[in-house]
Amino acid sequence: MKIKRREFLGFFLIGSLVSLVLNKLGLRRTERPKEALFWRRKV
Amino acid sequence: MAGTVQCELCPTECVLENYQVGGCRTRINKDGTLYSLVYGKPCAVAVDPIEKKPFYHFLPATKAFSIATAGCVLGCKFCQNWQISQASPEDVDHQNLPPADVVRQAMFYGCRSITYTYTEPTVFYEYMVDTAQIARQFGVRNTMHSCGYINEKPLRKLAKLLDAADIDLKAFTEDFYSRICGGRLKPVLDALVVLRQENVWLEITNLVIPTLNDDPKKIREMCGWIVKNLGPDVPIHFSRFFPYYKLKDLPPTPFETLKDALKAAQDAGMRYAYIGNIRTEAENTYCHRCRKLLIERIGYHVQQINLTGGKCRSCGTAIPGVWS
Repeated sequence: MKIKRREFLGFFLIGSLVSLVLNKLGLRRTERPKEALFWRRKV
Repeated sequence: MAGTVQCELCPTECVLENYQVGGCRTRINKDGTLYSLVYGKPCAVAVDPIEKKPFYHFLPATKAFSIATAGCVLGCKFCQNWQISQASPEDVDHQNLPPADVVRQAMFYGCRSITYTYTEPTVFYEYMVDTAQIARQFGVRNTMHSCGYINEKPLRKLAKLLDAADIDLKAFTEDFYSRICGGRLKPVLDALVVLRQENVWLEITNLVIPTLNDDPKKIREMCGWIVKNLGPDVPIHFSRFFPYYKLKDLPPTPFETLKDALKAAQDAGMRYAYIGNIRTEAENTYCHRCRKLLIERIGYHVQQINLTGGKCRSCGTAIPGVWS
C-alpha cells in the first residue's frame, strides 16, 4: 500500500500534537538520571 | 571543569573523580554531581513470606513485596546473592519499576509490607526512600534487610519511614569485617543503636560460619552487647551457613554450633533467640514468661499463632513485636 504525501503529513501532525499534549500534561515517561542524596563536592 | 565529589551515604565515603563509579557500583560522579545508577531499576522483584526476611515478630504469616537492585556496600566472601550484589547494574537484567508502581504491585498482590532486601538496600537509598514515602501514604509498611553499613544522617532520615529492620550482624570482631566483608564493625553497631533510638522494630541475623565467626566467647560477647545496648527483646536469628561464593571450601554449620549459639543468647538474657536455615523447634516463638508456644513455624510457613492483641493467650504477657 502506498501512502500519499497528504496522509503522511496528517499522521506526522497528529503524532506531534499527541506528543505535545502528553508533554504538557507531564504524562510522558522520560528517563532522567536521579541525583543521589548525601554527597558533597570536594574543594 | 568537573569536580570531585565525596559520597556520604555509607562509611566507605568514596571520593570520586569525574565519571568514576563508587565501590558499591551504583553511584556515579557525572560532571560534579553524584547520580544513582539504579533508581527505579530493580533486578529482583518477588512476593515472599515475611518469615523469609527473616522477621519473626513483625506481621507474621503476611506477604512482603520484596525488591532489590544490583550492588552492595560490602563484599562478603560468603554472600548468598553475590550474582546480583557483586554485579554492576548494567551486567544484570532489570525492569523499570518506578516507586509508585512498586506500591501499586505490592497492593495488587495483597502484601502488607514492602521489603528492601536481597542485596544491600543502602545502594538504592533514593529509590527506597521515594517508594517508602508513597507506601506509607497507602498504609503499606516498609521493612528492610540490611547489613547496617550506613552513615548516621541518612539512616535517621530513612528510619522515619521504616517500620522494621533486620540487620545482619555478621560477626563481633573488626578482623572479620575487614578480612571477610571489606568493612568495619563499629558503624554497624552504631546503626543498630540508631534504629533502636528511632523506634524501628529491630531483629538481628547472625550467619554462623564454621571457623570464622563461631567462637563461643565472641558470640557470648555479642549477645551481651545486644542486651546491654538494645535490650533483651530484640530477636536474634542464628542462621546456618552453606558454602557459597568464595567460601566454598567450608562445611555447612553443624547443628551443635547453632544450638550453642542459641544457648549463649539465652544465657545472656535474650528473650527471643532463633535458629534459621534448618528445620528445628528453634524456629518457633515461645512466651518469655510462661514458655508456652506462641507461633509455630515450619520453614517459612506459619502453622499456628497463639497471640491475641499481641499478648500471650496463656498468661496475657505482652509480646514484643508488631502484630497488627
